[in-house]
Amino acid sequence: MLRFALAGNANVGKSVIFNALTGLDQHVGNWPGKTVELFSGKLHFENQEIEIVDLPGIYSFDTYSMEEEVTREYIISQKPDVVINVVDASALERNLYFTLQLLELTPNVVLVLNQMDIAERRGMQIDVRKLAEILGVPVVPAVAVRGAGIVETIKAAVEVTGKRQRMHGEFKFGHEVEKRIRKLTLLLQKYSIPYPPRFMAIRLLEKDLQMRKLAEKIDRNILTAADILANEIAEIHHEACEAVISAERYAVCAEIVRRVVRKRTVRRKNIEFLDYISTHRVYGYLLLGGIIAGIFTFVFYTGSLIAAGMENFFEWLGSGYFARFGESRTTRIIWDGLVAGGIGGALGVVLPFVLPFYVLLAILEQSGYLARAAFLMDSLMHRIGLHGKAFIPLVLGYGCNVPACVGCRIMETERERTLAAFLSTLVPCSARTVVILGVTGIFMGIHWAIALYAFNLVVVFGVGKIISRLLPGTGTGLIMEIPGLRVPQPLVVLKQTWFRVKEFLVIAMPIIMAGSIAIVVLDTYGVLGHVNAALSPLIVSWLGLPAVVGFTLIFGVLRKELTVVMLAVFLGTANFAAVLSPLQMLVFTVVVMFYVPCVATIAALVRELGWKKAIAITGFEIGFALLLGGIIFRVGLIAGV
Amino acid sequence: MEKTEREEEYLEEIRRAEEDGKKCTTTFLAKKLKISPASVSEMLKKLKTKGYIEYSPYGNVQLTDYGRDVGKQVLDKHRVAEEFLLMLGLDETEIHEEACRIEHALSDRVFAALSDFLKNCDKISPLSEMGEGETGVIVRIDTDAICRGRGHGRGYGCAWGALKRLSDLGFTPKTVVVVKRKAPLSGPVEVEIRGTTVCISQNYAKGIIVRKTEG
Repeated sequence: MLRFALAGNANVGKSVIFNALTGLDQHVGNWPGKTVELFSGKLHFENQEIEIVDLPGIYSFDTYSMEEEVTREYIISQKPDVVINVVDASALERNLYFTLQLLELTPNVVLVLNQMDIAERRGMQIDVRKLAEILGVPVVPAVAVRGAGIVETIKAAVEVTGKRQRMHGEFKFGHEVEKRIRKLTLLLQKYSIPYPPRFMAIRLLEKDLQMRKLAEKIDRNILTAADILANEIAEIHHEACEAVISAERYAVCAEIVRRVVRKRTVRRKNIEFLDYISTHRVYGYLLLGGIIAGIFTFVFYTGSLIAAGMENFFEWLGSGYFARFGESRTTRIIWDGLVAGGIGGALGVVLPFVLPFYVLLAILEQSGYLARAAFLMDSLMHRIGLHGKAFIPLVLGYGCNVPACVGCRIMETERERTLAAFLSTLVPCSARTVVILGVTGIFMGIHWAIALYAFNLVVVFGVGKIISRLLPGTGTGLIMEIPGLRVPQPLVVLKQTWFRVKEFLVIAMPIIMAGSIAIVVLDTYGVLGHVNAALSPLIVSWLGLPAVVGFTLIFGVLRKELTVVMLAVFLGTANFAAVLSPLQMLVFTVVVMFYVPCVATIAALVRELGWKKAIAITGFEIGFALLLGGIIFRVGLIAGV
Repeated sequence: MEKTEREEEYLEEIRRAEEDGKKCTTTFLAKKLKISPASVSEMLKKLKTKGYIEYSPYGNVQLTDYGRDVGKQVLDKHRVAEEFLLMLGLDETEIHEEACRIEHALSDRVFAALSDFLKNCDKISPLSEMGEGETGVIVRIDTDAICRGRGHGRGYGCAWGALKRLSDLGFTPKTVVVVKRKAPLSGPVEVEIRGTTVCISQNYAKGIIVRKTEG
């Protein structure tokens, strides 16, 4: 079986090509020990089965980020038959920077010049044959979104496997640099190393940390030689050696572009106008606010309709179930715990709220808008020790905290990932929105609900500010390519949504189901009563709430919206205003909003950050919510709410 | 024709008066140059014979075209010298006197080089200080500014390899950048570089030193 790997920069249409090649036959797996996901799928071509692996989008082969490391190690250790390098034809210079490095690593490359239509619209004419000649690899022009060039790509890749490719080592750097690369390459040739010597030599001169470690293990002399050579280069150019190498590599790219691209200036009024508005210092923020408000309104109106429908469906199913199997302790546990509580409850949040929310977000992401939102939010995020990109997981959190925690992987450092994941668990997810709207919103008025959202933002901001001071290290900044605005591809949008919702289904569903059964069993055997009794001093005297709220908070650990459902059950009415004072409702809502990440979120935190941090975050939030609840109760009493 | 420092001094002063639209008389010059009116008259006669100026007794002193060229050049040299001294950190009160001495020693070649340097100095600034729509060429990357206050060793993973990421995205010396957008409240800068759009936080933009160019 042949194995092809797709590699290239981010935002070049790699996933469109991947989808076109593999259809829906896709798998996702984690690279051993890393949280970087690798998608793979199969394809049949001329009686051959071909496995396609989609490597993460990267700019270079340095091991500063996990994506870069995984891509490099995959190509070296898994030895795919061909690496299909997808490049954005409209940004050839930037993309060739990666291509040149790839060619240092492996000769078995096919270059796909994707987005040829965009390049043409921007007035660029690319001499494909000349490019192939210069690079020494097949070059296939493509417009993947229209399916153009897909078959040709596979054909070219299969042809490459039939030939023995020779290493293309002839992209020369400037004389002084080239001489030293050769020197180091010659030295490396004496050892057995897992990388092509020239590739490793260049990495060493660029002071790649992992390469240095490897070199040290093989022979300390390599490292010494590399350092001496790098210093010589730095002294000649009065600049760090790695910067010199980047600059010279880019010089080669620019020269190639000069030889193969003819460009005339084209103005595209509509796109330019949208681009202008989207990051404008006034209109940009208005647009962002409008979009967010629009999404929320849409999701919660349509969501409640779907939720009501699902509730009816499960009721109908339940009556059928009990008619068929009879009422007993066991059937109750199976129904309440597993079916209605576990599956129904979990889907009851995902289908109506999370799914539509994530579809809309994926559309924004694919259109290139989210990157612009990150640009607008950067300065605000800096104040809480993060940068613009963290805006994305935080917004994801409004759907469900689980994919939000997973989404924090886009942050570059451990510190940023921890902080972003922590803050995104404070964001009211759709389950908590059910509580906020269902208690405060209905019985105290929508302005109170909106005030609570605003209060939540203040808390997230304040906690972020404090925690970012406490965490060791200092904040980093935003460096992000802003993709051109474009029409999102439905298939890519659905895939993106699916993989986010899948985070929920894979991490959250089993835990919710198991937890749900456990709690129903405990309740059936009267254990919860004792827990409730133990909690009641805290609930009654500190928070000023009815003792039964203890129960609801236990259930809420499973799913936050259960707090409302159970509250209605225990109070014997869904008209909370009849049994609770406005202050009590307020305290209840605030406590539910913060008191603990739900089990699924805790599981996600454990997976992303490890046990210690997950426990610390959970502990903090329990204490914080109780403290806050107690304070609000007392302030409310004095203020006479 | 040889001209003396004193003559240059006179021509400079007359030119300055002409620029300011002031009437230039013997008394005026005497006051400005702190010389007795008699000596001024003497010198004016000399300048007239050399063809630098026209004047009638008790009337205004007027520069000939030739005299204007000379006066203008001396004045320009004076101004460049002043600007340079100011940049060196001298006090505004002392630069005039100093510049008066330097202006006579500046050859045309050094004058041209110095004014060119000053012009470019003005245009060199961090990327963060460029305005929207302005174009520039990267002069150098100030690694200290980018890594300032960070606990990592320089060059090795300084700020998660921000330096490397910047150069991977093409922020290397001699590269043309166009500032597209600057977010408010010292937010990030959106720049066009190598045919793509990249946004970088203010703290990185401060470390990218550029020279502004036209268009």
